Amino acid sequence: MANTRQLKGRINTAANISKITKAMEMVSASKMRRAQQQAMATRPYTRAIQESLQKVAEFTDSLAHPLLAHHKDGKDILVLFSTDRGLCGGLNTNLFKSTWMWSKEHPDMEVIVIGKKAIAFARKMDFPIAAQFTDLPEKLTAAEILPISTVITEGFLDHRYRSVSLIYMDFINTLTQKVRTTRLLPLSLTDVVGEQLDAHAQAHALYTFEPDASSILNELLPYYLENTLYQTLLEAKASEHSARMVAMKNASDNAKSLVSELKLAFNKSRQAVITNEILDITTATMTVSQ
Amino acid sequence: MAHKTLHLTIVTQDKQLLSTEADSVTAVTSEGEITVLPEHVPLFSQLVTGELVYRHDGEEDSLVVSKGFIDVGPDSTVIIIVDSAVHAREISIEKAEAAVKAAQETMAMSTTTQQEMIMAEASLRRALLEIRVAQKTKRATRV
Repeated sequence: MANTRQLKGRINTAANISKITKAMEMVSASKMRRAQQQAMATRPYTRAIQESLQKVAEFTDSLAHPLLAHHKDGKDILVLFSTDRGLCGGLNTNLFKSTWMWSKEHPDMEVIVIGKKAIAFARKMDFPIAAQFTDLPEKLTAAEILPISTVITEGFLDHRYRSVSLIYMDFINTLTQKVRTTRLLPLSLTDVVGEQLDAHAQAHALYTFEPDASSILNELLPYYLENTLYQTLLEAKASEHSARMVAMKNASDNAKSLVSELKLAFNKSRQAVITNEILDITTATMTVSQ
Repeated sequence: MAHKTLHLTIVTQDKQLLSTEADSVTAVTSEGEITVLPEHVPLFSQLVTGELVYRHDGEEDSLVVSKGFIDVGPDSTVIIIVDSAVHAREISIEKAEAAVKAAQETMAMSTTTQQEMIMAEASLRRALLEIRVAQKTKRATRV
């Protein structure tokens, strides 16, 4: 009997867990859809800014702007885009593994962390934290980026930071997210321009700039910087919700199969008890009637 | 083709707002108002908060755009990159008036930081412009 009662308790627990994970799956699914849409919707803007920067870059001295200049002072900065909450599968683990690898290559480093999970990780690994940002709202706006970009730009211009890199989970689709590390500062226009330069160079030979190319560049670079950060944040958010939804879906599926396994065992043991009782009764009647 | 048109694309920080054919585009740049016609010389310029008007088949449409850039490509493509843009017909005057009030209150407070001040000023300028454009288009439709 004790065995049956134990089993019953375990069935209830598993069923309750599956209810919770199912609910979390639903919530993540709706958040995921919104985050994915937002990330997709801003991609044209990002592309347009990049293309503009390409065009302008062809007409300016690419080292004229302080954001483009290389200098040797200060530390290497890594901006770590993690999540505030857990239960999102291997997302943070993968992210932190790559972060650790990065820190091996850059001994003189500091991190700027986004998300509570990253703070805990940085504390544990004894990474010096330059700045931390948590509890970003669910519905992100470009204004959220301003404090982050201000910290980064000022640190770089004051020669406190030598370079700034971003590490985040790039959203590919609901099932796949990849760790991606990109160099943000010093901006290298060759990265932005890439291979397209040659093909476009002639078509843009006649461009007119008003007021002039270098002042356009001065205006455009902060935009590019903020937008890159914003887009990264959106991608990271979309990845987080996708990963959480998939993790929760797996959890509910596992809980359900556990419930059905336990039910089978429970039914078997109940049947065993009944059979034993019948055996007892038949034996008793047979003894009495003899 | 009988007559050439411009291909106009407007992208804002949130989404691609518009992609359409147009006969001409008028926008306010940092150097003054410009009108772009088909086969314009390739041009890249800075936009300031202002009204953007595009015409197509004799119909005129206007938007309120914030700071950004205009990129006139060599093949009659016009790309407008702005922080935000609102169609004149979608402007709600009440909302804009509320925004004006909120911005003025923020600016009146002496404790606000410089950055908040700049942002309040920008939103004030935009809201005022929205009201002006909305009133103008309303009048135009009534006449």
